[in-house]
Amino acid sequence: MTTEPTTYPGLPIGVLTLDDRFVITAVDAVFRAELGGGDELIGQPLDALISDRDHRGAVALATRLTQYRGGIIDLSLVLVVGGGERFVRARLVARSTWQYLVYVEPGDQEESLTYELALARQRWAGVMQRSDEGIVLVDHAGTILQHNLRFFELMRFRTAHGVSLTESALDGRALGPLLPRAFDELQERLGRGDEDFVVRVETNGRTLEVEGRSLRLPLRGRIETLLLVRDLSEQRQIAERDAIIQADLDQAADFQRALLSRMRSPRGLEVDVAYRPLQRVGGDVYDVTVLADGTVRLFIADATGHGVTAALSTMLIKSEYDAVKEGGDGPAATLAALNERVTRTYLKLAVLFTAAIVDIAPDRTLVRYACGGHPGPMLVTETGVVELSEGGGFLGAQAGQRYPEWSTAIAGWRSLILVTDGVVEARNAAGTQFGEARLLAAIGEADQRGRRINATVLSRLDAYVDTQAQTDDITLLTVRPTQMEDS
Amino acid sequence: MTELSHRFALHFDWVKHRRVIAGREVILHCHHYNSRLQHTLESAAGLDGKRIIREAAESVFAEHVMNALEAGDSTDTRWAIAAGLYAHLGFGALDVGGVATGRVTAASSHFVEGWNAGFAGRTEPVCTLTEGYLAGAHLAVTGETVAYRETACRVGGAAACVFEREAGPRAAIPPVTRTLIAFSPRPATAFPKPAHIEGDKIVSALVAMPIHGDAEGLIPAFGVYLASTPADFYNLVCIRFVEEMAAKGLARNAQRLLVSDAETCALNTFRGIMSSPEWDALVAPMLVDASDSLYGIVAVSNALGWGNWYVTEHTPGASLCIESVNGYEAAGYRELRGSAPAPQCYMLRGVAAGMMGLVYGSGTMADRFGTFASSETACICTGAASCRFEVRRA
Repeated sequence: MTTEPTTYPGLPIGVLTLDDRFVITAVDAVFRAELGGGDELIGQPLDALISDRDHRGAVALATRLTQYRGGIIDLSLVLVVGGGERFVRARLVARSTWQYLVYVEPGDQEESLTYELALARQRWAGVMQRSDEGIVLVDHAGTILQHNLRFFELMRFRTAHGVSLTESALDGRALGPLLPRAFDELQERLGRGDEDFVVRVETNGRTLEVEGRSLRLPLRGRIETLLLVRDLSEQRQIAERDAIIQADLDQAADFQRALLSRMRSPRGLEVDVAYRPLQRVGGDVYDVTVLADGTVRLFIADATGHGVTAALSTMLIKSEYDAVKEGGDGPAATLAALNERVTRTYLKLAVLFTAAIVDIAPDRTLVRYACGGHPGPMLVTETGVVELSEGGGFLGAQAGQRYPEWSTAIAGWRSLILVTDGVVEARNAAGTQFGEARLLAAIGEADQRGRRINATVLSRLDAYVDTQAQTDDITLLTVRPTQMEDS
Repeated sequence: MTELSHRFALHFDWVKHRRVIAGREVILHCHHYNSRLQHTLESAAGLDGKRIIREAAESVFAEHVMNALEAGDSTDTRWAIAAGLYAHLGFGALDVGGVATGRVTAASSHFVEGWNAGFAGRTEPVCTLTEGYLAGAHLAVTGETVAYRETACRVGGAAACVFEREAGPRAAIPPVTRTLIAFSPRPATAFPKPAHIEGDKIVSALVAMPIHGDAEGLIPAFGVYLASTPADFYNLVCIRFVEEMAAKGLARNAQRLLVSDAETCALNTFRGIMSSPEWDALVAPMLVDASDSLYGIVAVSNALGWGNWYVTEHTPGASLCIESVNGYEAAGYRELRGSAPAPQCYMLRGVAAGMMGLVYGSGTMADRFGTFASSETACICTGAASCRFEVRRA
């Protein structure tokens, strides 16, 4: 005797009736209303309803039907019914030895729990797939429930013959027996049921960090442990490499400091230098030399670029400058001679730089200066701060260059400042440069208040850029007369 | 055994792309495929999957062992040949010293290793093929029809696998009957050559490699356990499985599972191969484009005895058309059952999808499974000149 299958009034659960060969023999009214299918489904095998796009669903159903020995087959599937594709939850049960019922519930509405579950699975799968960390979930007995590819790659599970285990063979297998002795602490932690922990494992020349986190459910307490596995070896190798590079840079910085000699202030003058490289070493270079006739020669240069390359450039620049600085020529001729040496010897290395030379006469009342693409000197007098002329082209680009030279009487001067462009080109969060106006104002303020110019300028600069990172090397070379001591 | 090993010498048939050992065409498959196929059959409800495997193995290996015997061999030599062939094929190491008392043991087993590497928690004996092999070998060696059953298995923790002969003779398994069909595969020149992958060079190198059982009778190579199994065995097992499932109305489900097993096999096997030193030495130097990995895999598979197939159209990451001119499934079906109304190459169909999933998918092999769907749109079994597989993103 055939009786109508159980229905659930008010619930959108349709029922398909199947014969003993899993062929549809009846479609109930709820199925027709909710999913749109009708009599055209009768006579079709159940699996024929699965969309071609749902390959996994089709294989899952085939597996479960082939192995069916009773109980409930509970799957989410994409069915082609009513002229379209529908995502459904399908539960199959045997009603007798010759009849099966399939309860079909639409799962493609957002308020549906089936939909939410499918979405959550997709999200979780997305996280698992894209994680840089190995992820594995184990139950309270230490059985692997789920893992990602990174975990499989990191753990390198092999048989005695060096053959890799099958990934799918991990799920459902006890984690403990797979782990070598190096993981004993992890095993102990899992065995004790520790809540949250981190262990480090040295294995086969690698350092792995395993972080354990308990997952709990209301009423049931701890149900699973999430293990995150990270390979610290790569990080450690990077850190070791960084340490070597850092040590090299420290030594290079020492060399550069030695190169930028701690000059003694010449008689009648006080020299103050502020040097703030962008990195451990910088591309700015300066020098103060007293020539044979008592002229004090200031030199400042700024190599293009930053860091190690620019720092190496400063070595060349300083070396070549030392060879020409006492040649008896004036500032422009000295710049020209420096340019000749650099371009002749290092043209292929593209050692490009700006530079300025300022000669302060022995009586300290006259300056002669020349620039090659570098900011002009700033002169502080009783009447204020002025930026002297600037001009000329970069050094190192082309042989045969000539540089403009100027001379200015500086009777009554209070300070002379040379800077590199890292000062005026520093930017605040809005992207606005510190600029010449703020530089001149800071110098003037320091002079009026009797403060050290370099320190004041840097203070104002720091306040201006605030949290913005420094983007260029910064150098200030300030000279002021010390008449009182000399007199 | 060294003095007998010449009887197992490999002959590679370049026209048919078949590996021939002791007069039988053998197929190189790995533990992934063998254990999955066995799992599919033995887990099916309402049919005896073990019986299908045993009977196929008995009938096929009775012939195979007989082929390796020579007139004048003593009984001891004949049993040594049987054990030697078993080990050479990569199934493991049989100790047949106690066969006269009805007891054979195995200290190593391809099937145990395969199940341990591929499935968790199995304790029931897994050396079903060996039961059939021993019955077939017994028939070849003595002319008696007997049955062997595995009474202890290393997969369940035993020190060795133990096979015991059941008392009394039993009815003989009918021998394999084939209708040999003249068939000329389309030549390789009929297909476009890949730009960077030299297929023949790869096949030659692989054929020259000593891919046979080691001291344990195992072939751990390319990151997997390989075994050379007669094509007839696979064909009989798959055909009978589908036929018996069809009787329950589940033919399509059975076919789907066979395709699924092959897809999983391809994902795992070729992943192992692509991670192996053999791949690094042989194929990796030829790789220029991302799609070259796919062509490299196809070339490797053409050395496995499956037949030969060629990529005819390929859009990287999206689709693949590949034609098999002499697949062992199609050839076997025609010999064993004649022509068919529908395509029969479940293994190649699954492998085609698996290769694409491996090269262009992401995540675990489970994540990659089903990324691509394949269909066999033409088959030699239905009268086509070649078997054609079309693969697209699912």
